[in-house]
Amino acid sequence: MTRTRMDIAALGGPWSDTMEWYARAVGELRSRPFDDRTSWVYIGALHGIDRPGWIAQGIVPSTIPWPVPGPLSDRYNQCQHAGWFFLPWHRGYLFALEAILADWIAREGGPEDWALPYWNYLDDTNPDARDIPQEFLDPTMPDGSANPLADALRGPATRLGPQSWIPADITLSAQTSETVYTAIPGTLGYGGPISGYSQFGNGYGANESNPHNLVHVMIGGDNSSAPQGWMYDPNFAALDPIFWLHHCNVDRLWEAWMSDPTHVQEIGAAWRNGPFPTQFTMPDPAGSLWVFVPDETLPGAPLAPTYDSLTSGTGIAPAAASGTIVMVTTTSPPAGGGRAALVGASSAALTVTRSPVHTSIRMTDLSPSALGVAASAAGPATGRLYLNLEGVKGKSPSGVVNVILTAPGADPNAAGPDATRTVALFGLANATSAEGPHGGSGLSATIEITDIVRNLQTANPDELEAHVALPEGGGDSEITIERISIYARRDQ
Amino acid sequence: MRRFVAFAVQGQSGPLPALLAISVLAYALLSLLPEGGFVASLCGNLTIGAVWFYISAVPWSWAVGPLAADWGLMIVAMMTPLVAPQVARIVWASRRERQLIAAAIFLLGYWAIWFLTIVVLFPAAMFVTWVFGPDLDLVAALAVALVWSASPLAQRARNLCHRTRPIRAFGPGVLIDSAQRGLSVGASCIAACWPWMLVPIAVQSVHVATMILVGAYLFADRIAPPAPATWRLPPAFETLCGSSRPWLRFRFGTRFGQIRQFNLSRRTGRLVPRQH
Repeated sequence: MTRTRMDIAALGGPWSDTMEWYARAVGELRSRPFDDRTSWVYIGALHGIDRPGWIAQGIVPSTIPWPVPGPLSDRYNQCQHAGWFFLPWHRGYLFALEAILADWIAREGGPEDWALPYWNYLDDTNPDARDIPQEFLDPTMPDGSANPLADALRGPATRLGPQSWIPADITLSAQTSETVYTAIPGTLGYGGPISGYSQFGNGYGANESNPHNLVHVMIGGDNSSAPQGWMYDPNFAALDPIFWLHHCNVDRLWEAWMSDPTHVQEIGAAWRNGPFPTQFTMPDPAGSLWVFVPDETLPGAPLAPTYDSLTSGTGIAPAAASGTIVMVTTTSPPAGGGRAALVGASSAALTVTRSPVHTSIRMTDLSPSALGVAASAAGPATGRLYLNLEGVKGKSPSGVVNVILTAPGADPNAAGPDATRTVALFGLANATSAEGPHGGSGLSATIEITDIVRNLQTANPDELEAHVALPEGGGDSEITIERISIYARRDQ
Repeated sequence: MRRFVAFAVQGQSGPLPALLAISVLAYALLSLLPEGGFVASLCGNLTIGAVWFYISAVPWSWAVGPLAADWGLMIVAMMTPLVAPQVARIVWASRRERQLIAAAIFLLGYWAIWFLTIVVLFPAAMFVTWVFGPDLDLVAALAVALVWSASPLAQRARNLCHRTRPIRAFGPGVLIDSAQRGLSVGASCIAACWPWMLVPIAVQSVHVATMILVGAYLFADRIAPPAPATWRLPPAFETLCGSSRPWLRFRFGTRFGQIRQFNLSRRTGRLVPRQH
């Protein structure tokens, strides 16, 4: 039996059979206690749990045991972010929940092949694609009972897109701009830089940055209320039923990206075997635990999903060329070739508030030819430039910052929207805490700035200026950035 | 075993091979010294009487130099492989022409602060020998080290060891930041590992072999990821098991070593494993 994940917009909703069963099954899992490994709260805690916050919001009773004694306690807070295990870990996570839901649905007389739907929010053929599906907004189900899918704390947005607190849009740029899975440090890759077992590692991949992080922040945040919406905080996010449809789409984007024969999926031994020694652990429908490695999530492997389409809303053209896909063996680093070097950095940490602050970025040589971003008689430019926000820390569960790059002394307000980059920092507080399992290193975010630098008119080739601020409509929770750096990558 | 192999593959990248080479060289130098060196001749014999004998019978200028050199070699041999992620971070955060010097300054800072622990650890070893006697001091040192490794304080220190920070890329800031990172990582490392240094000091023979074993244990302790600071099984055991939950099974079995090829179905738009 093959489960096929379908676009929620193609299910004939609102309240298609698939969604009604999803809502009923979520309601059932919510009725199960925390110590039941198939309960909604237990599965949510696998992603992340803030025990005091959960108790304060009435999600769990204050009597839940904590910390769970012995090595069993490290099942919680497993989610892998800001590193190269983000995509495979979440694929295994989706598989585990889907199996538990489907098991209950089948036993209740529902479809044997029930599968999680996905939210195809970047389908440009559907004008309503970005709207939060109606099933997650209705207070009641068609039979008049309370709707478990709407039972979540969210921000005010009902449609994905630029908001006052996050002036950026979701795009499919990651699907085509990054052709290699593993990022060379300081640059972007589709799946992120090499990392170990880390709930919040050292750098987001392109897919994780956009659309994953942006969707989390758009749905969960408005930075004006406390607490924030669940999707805004990795310690609450998986409690929101819309999380799973969002992640199904993120997962589908990865599957579609792999289907492009020009893309290089990482399948080196270190990636395929997962982090060492800690392993990814999931519950099955009987409540037993099992472990998996990323190798089991690749196409054709047991945890690989089936989607009704890999082309609709994925940015990947239908059946390109021969239609033959080859998983290219790569090792790291650097996967897929290319090399990168530090070409500029700031020298002092920044404290970012709503009032823009700026810092000088000293460059080795800013001329486009030196940076490899200028076309020449020999052919088009092969170099790309990336700006890194390193050691980003803050108390808010997630954060948003605007970065404008200018010539020294230039007015950032005159730079125009093309020179502005908005970065969503999902999981900021978790990555900042030195008390928890994150070491307190903070986050690093990488954004491509090749076009900005190419278009800069500057008389001083040794310096750039970065202007950083929290968005006007956002909260005022302070964010610190230890260093801003620029790396140049030359693809081979 | 497959997972150990995969870890070894992962370790091939980055600075770990170079750091291991430095460590092996230091071990080799120690093993070439007569009786394993001056420190080794004291080890397992750190009674007040023995130390008084050395102080009174051996000229001060003769004793301090070899003692410092041996202790330094011990530190370099045992502690260098533990900081591969931090060295990697220092390297990629530096301009290409400064990478080597930045890494070297970091290591010097790291070794230097470790070196200073001789002032505390030798008296501590003497204290253990004085309390438990020369027959039980090894057992006592091991017990102290294991209990410490299981404690929340040690886990908090290990978490700090995992912390990475950027450095300045231009001017003298490169050297200052590299040294400061080396010192701070070293301080955290001392907080996490200090009782384990009592173990090789407590053995009377096979001194270098004991150092290698303790060094391997500390390496296994360090490669486990950061974790909440609670009482726990020392993370080295997790590493040595190759899993945090060795009793759990793979649900589907792994397909390690297999390279897959796929066809994209024009009809369904799905990836289909290619039939061989």
